[in-house]
Amino acid sequence: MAVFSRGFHGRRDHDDALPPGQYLTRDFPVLSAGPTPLIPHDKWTLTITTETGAHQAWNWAQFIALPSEEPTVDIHCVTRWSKLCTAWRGVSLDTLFADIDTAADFAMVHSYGGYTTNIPLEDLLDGKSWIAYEREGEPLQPVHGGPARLLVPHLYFWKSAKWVRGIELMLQDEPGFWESLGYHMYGDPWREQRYDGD
Amino acid sequence: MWRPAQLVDAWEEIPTARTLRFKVPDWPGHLAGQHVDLRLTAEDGYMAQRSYSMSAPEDGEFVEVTVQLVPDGEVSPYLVKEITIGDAVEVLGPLGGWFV
Repeated sequence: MAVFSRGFHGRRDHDDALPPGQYLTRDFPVLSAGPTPLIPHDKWTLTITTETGAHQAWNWAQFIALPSEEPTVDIHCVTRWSKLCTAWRGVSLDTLFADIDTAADFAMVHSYGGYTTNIPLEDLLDGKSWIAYEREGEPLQPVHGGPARLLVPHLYFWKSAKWVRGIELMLQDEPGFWESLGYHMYGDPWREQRYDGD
Repeated sequence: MWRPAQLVDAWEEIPTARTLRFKVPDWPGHLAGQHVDLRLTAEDGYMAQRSYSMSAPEDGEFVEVTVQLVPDGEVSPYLVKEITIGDAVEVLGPLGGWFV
């Protein structure tokens, strides 16, 4: 039986770009599980490690010399805000994985500060994700994940790990940080996969 | 699982923030640092959902959240200015295991 809230009307700024249970925000809320790490460019590296232990690493100069793309995407936070048409610059994961030889189907993304999140490898490839280092034409601020963060806009935004430092390939899926604490292993906003069991 | 909840008490903390005490039958209890999702449904079926931190310890079937007014918000003006004792919402939770 439906439960109605007497006198509630809502603003109804509904947009077909909004997944179920989300609302539009025009600012950029900041939600982090811990303090913001400050990583100078000369201390920054990004490493992809395969299931055999082979790895490929880029320092900052090598990384920003890679071809970049400028995706404009909608982002959806599991805490129910969505932000439409956000503009980024970053390196496609297809570019970073061009020379990676792997049989793995899953990835664990690691951040400076210790955060982790798991994502199927196919959700990182084929133009679906980037390592982003600019937002709205400006260097990505540390509070939003700078120097560089993962951007996987088709999943809830906790998957778009801030302060990314590495991607570890895995033969079997394992839960990352939030996924160990009651959140969904995959996190599709269009299917409202917010919590374990959704 | 969304549970029906009834507002049983409410008080202003400051002019722009109000604590709401809901009675939620069969509430399983919660820990400090967890949160709930609240769902409001208008008469025509339109729904809005928001997340709020718990603002009181476990107390049987009672759940308290404190809502800060967002001046041009969609939900907080209703929860801070409009909803009255006896009105209904739905509650999902408790949620979250990190900030406990």
